[in-house]
Amino acid sequence: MSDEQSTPPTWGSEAKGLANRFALGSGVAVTFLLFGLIVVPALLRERRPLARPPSDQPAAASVGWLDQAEAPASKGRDLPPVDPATVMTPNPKLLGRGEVLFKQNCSSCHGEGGQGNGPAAGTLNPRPRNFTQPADWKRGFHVTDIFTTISTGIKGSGMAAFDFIMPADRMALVHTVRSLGGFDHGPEDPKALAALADQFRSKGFHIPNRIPVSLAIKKIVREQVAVPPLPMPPAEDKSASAELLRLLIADPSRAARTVAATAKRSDLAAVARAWAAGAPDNGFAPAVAELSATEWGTILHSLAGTNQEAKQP
Amino acid sequence: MSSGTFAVLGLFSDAHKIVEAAQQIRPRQLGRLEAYTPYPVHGLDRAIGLAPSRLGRLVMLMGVIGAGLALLFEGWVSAVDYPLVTSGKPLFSWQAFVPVMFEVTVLFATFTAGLAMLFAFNKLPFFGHPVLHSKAIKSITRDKLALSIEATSATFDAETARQALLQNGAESVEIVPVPVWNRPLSLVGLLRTIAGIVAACAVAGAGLFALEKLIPIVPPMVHMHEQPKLNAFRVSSFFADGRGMRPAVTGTVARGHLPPAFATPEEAGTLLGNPLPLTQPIAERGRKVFNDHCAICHGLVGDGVPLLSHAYGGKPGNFLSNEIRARPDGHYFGVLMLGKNAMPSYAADLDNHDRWAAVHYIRILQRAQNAKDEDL
Repeated sequence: MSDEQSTPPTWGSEAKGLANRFALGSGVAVTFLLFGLIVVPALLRERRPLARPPSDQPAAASVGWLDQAEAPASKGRDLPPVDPATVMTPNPKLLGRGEVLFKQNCSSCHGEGGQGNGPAAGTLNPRPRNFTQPADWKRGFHVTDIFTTISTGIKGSGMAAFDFIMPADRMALVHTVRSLGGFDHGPEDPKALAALADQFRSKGFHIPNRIPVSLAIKKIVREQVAVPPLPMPPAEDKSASAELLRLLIADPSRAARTVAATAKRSDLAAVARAWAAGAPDNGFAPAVAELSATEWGTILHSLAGTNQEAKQP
Repeated sequence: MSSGTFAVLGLFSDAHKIVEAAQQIRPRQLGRLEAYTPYPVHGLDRAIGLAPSRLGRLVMLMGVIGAGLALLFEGWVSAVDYPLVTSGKPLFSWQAFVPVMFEVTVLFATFTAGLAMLFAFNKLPFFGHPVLHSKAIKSITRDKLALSIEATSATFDAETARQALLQNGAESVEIVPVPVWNRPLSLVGLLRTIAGIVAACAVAGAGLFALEKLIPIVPPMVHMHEQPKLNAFRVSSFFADGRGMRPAVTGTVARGHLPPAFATPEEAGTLLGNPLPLTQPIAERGRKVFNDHCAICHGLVGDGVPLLSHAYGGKPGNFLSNEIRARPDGHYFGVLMLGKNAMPSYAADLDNHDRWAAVHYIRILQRAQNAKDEDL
């Protein structure tokens, strides 16, 4: 006691002590603040019941509100027929719409200018058509020809059917495509034109019903008709046909689906090719590709027998 | 001659006699008594005045010192030098120091026990105990018992010791002289030792190197990475065609690499059916495969409105178009295997199960976007 009194605290030690106390106090305050603002609210929130029960769906199935696949169901509707006068001949409104659609749907292959030099053109065989030249048009370049090509595509080429575009918009594309070529497109066939105009006049465009994909999964899974697995011969059956079946059928349930899918085919060679091509995924062992004609006879006979047995009860 | 005497050995045949002799000689304090016997003799240790070992007490002391030092050090570190609150405990939490204290106690105790025993009590290094060079050592290690009076001072009288032993029943007495020491830790000896080690290492290393590299005649020492072998994508002189990678044997394929049995997607469509039953898990699997691999271009609903490829000016197929909806399952599988137009082959990226599951999912997407009226 007397020592403390005899040596009064210096200014420095006083400041140091104050700073220490301040640091300690603020540390405690920060700790309390952390608890008050983070830990306690988190604990309280944890006790609150969840607004939505946790989903047991796999993560990929719940992309969230951005997932178009889970958009609410919507009833389909029919768009009314179009007045042919608005689409059969080019007009500025139609051409403007056609330009937008061309960029969206055609330019990746046919190029921005329709010269058949789009970014994806190099991957296509045959190459996409050059709209600026009159040469090599497979169906011709009349209005009705181009409309048919857009609507149904061209088999054996990269040209797909753009049947999901509304007919009026397809006509916009037709006129845009024609406008890209500066050459003379020649006279139209009035009969075909009239038929097309009739089509526009009589038929609208149907927008189908849409349902969320998860609902579609449920519906389709429920609709599936179970195919019973092929009955395999019992183990004690040592006959040649039984041995052959055991050798060839790797998965009786898959093989049953394959048999059912090819049941309508009468051509034995086609059935043989189909079974061999799908093996071993389709339930048959790859050895099915090397069967002789007599073995085919044996196996088809035994399968037909088992099928009949299966149908009887 | 007395200064040249290490000890005087008296040999006995009878264990009783040696104990009695030790009891008689010890009070005369002629020198330090020691006994060499081929087997333990009860009472001899007490007769020659062998005190209980002080090692235990020393180890105890050092152990306590170690524990104390550890406690002090840890306390100083955690409470003084670098005060840090851990788990809200007091700075000087001795409970937390116990493991380290234990370790340091053991460290001090074991080192004390080992080093003190070797160097303090057994007086090592001690190269060649003089008694081992005595004539009596043969009989000591066979059937005789020896009582030794060791010289402890310059005034040791070997003759008195000899007489004392003979009077107390020793059968024979031998005077063991102080041996002539070779000083192993001299500078020359040290240098010679180091030079010897260096020379041995050099000779061994050079010899091994020569054997291994210059004259490769030691098969087990060939390095594993230098062995003759085939490297994929490398030239090899082993085969006539000079290729390290071997082509498949004619008429065979690698397991799991069955080539597709179709040349075009159209052909696949006529040949293949979907072997997977459309169940909920397979549909979910297909959804994952589609969203992971296909949706980036074909869109989440398969409408060909791309998530990403729009940036590259692509126009992927629209699975909802009537044309594509009409295609059989096998056609989709064929496109996945072979690719189509700008779409690459996914033969290397997916397995067949995932491909067929994705085909099922495309059908589901087509149903979802073209639902029947009763689905609503």
